Amino acid sequence: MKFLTLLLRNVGRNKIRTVLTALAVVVLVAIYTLASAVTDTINHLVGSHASQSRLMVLEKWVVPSQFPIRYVPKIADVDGVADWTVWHFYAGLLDDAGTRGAGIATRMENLREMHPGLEELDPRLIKAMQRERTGALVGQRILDQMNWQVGQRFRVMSFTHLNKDLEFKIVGTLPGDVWAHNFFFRDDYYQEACDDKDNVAIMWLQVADEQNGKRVAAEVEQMFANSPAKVRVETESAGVARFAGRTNTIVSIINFVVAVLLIDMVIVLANSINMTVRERRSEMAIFKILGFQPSFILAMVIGEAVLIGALGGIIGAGTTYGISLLNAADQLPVRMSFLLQFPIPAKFLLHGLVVGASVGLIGSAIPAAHAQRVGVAEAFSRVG
Amino acid sequence: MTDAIVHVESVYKEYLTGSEPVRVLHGVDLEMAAGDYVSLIGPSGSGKSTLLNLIAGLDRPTSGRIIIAGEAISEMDEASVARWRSAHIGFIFQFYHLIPVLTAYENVELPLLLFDMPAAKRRKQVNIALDLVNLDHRVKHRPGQLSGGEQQRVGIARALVTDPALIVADEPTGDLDGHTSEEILDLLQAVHETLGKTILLVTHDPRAASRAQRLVHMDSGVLVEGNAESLREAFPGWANGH
Amino acid sequence: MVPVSYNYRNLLVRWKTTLMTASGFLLVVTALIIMLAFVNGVQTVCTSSGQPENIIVLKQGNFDEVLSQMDRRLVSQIEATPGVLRNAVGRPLASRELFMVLTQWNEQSGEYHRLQARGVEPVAMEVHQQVNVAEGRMFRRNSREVIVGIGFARSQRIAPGDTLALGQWEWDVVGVFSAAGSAFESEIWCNLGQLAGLFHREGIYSSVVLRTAGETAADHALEYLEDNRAVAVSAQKETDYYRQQAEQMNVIRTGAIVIAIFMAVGAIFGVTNTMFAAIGERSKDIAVMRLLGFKRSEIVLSFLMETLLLALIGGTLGALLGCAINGLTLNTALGAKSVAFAFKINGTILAIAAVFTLIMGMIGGLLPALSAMRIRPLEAMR
Repeated sequence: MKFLTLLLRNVGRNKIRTVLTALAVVVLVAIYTLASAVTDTINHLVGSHASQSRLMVLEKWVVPSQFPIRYVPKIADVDGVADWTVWHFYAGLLDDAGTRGAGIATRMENLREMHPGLEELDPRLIKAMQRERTGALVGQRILDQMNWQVGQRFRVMSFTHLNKDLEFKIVGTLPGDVWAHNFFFRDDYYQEACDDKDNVAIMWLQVADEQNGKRVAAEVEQMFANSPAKVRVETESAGVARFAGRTNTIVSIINFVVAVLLIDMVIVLANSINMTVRERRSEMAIFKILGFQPSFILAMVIGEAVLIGALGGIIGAGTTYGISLLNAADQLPVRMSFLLQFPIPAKFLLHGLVVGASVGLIGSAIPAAHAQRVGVAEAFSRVG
Repeated sequence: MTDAIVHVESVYKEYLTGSEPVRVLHGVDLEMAAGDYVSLIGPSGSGKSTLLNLIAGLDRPTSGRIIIAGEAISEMDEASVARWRSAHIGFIFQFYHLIPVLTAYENVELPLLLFDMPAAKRRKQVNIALDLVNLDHRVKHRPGQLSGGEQQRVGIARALVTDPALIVADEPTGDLDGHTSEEILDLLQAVHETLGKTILLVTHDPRAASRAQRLVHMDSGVLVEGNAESLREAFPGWANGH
Repeated sequence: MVPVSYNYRNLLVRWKTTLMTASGFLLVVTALIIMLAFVNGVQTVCTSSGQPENIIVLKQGNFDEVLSQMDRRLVSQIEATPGVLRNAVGRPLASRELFMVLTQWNEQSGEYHRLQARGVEPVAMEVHQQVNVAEGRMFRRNSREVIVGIGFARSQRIAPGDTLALGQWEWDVVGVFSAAGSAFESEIWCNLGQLAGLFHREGIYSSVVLRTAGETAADHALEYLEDNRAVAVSAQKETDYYRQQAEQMNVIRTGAIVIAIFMAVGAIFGVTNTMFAAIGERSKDIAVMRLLGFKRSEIVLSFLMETLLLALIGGTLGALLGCAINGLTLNTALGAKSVAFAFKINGTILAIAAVFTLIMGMIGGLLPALSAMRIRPLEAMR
């Protein structure tokens, strides 16, 4: 008979209790995975834009950034700039329900090289974009939310550019998660259709390394220090970190909620195991009398808790993961846009298991410590 | 070192309850040779359980020595005693104390899991023990599905499976009716006679006490040798069994 | 009725378990209160912003000041709207404003900060009645002086006498203003002309705020602006404008309640567990009570009461803990802006917490209490 068999038998002893405890963990881990998915998505986006050798050139003070296009060739000429591109922002509503699309108009020739996450993009799509003036490469989340296919046309009711509602043709999908909420289109189409030939929002520079980056940044800022429209240059990682800092309060609150959930789980488990240990005192005494070490009893109690916790954890995470998948594949009666924006990654299945098991471990620590110290007098007859 | 299986020498035991130490055992001496069947009787609170605890190594005497099967267990540390105990002492309890989630077979197997034994050898030993107590047909049942008598037989098998030097039975018939008690006592007797086991039987039951070869009497922490006379004194109204 | 002392004495005896079970409730209630207080705090800022008799006028199609840009001609037309009040010297109470969000490098913290700057003319103080200079004084015309909102002053630790960098100029902070807890309190106000000059936006305005006699007058003025084709604007009551900005908070509030429900389910399972065990332990007590003559329904009620007591203990402690956050000020991003808010607990939030607690207790206690009812007295005594 193996140790695991003993654990399983013990767990099956009081089925109601095991089920209740496991269900509590299931429920709490389910919410935990949802909350973590939010922070994970945010962190992922920030982390993927962490380059020190990519620089962003922005208007120095005003938000939203905008500076004269005539600066661009001068900046491109600076020694140390290996490659460059520009961005124009164009955003609006994609439907009547209020779904938003954030579009970026940019150069197509070096789309893949200048954008992290687009290295995998099929080069044939670039060619297709160069052939199709109103072409757009759209992120997966948008396609999911709007139920669009490649080849379809769509219209954007812009709120960044009033009365300039543009039409696009979907040429392809953007790979990966980084740009999943955006769509890219041609800068020349933007300039003509929006009648904006004077400005750009951001200019991106590719430099050799961090050292070079510092030098180039200083030079570019200096170049326009006396012009009416001034610019500042920061590394991509700094810029994105700054942006992410704005979501700080929300993220803090989510983290706080997550912490509370974990504490809650530990308490539920501790309570349950405590009751179990209290009821099995004399049995624990028997093990001791038979010659088993206190550490065996410790292992038995902790093992039980870890088993229940791990089981609850994987079911909880599995449930939300399953729902998230079904939601993305549009198999549910109701579409949850929240889950589309913050999908549950597969690695959370493991997380759920680990969280559940850890909660079991921590929750059972004190009751287990007490159990191993149970007095053997419990076992001897009451009459003597 | 003596050849005695049980050698208890001048053992005193004190407990600290509150501010005053309470002395439970007052210089107890006990000697049991291999193959002895001794019955320990005495009123509640006399210190029987305390002595049992000490002999089993579950507690240490305040002073004195305890040597079981040649091992000075009163001087060993807790962890070592635990290991030692599993090999050298078999326990039988009033309330059987079987693990409810394990089958009869698994309960008997349990003590053997503490040793490095190949599964086949383990299986063999368990079957021998079960055979001895006549329980081969109910081995896959859990204690909840067994009668009191059957449970006690499992308890006896568990006590025998490691082939211990000493068997300690604490009120083995305390929870059984008359007929079943007799069965269990017969079994113990068989164990004594055919296997030559050394048995220490603690009991309230005159029936059980009379089965032993020797009688010792505990009163207020003092142990004295007894005989049939003391048996009658201890159990007035009981004459020649019943 | 089974005396309540039976219940609370038992809870006392098993105090460790009682505490642990009650903690489940405590956590739910604390988390719920904190989340709802956050939402309420932010919404309070948004709803106390603006007055119903004021109308905010933006460029047509815009719903956010940040992107709206109007020229002098358009603004003059707006100012001519009938119904706009005039002040003592006959000047229309129409505030031309240039609202800009700026990123400013902060040497001290080594980071970029977002600043909300509003260029105004003196008439702005008459249009925005909620705004009052609390400390120091109003900035002088055509000067590089600013007054800052009290929320901004607090979070950035700025006081009159300090300097503040906006763009490439250093401006003098001469006053701190309060604005009835509204979003204005996170802003920096300065002279319109100076601000426009600094950022080359002379003659460009982001909004005009008109003051009318009252809500009805405001409605009339809105109608006029909507119907008038010559004036291409989007006009709203100030209150509506700010309320709309807070709408994203509703999503968060829903999220908070969903999270709390999940946690409540966890707490319910916890208490059900505990009560089942308690009843298991006390089956002899129950048997005795039945034999003494207590009815089954009384036993059920007794255990239900015990669960409610547990819930009450946890819920009350949780509420006390949650209330500790009342008044704590933080900043949060709201659209393009960064708004200072204070966690705010109100009666509704406490009521919601109380309801949660009660429901958790009742659901959690129901099954165990019913099982207590099914105990057969003579069997349990054996």
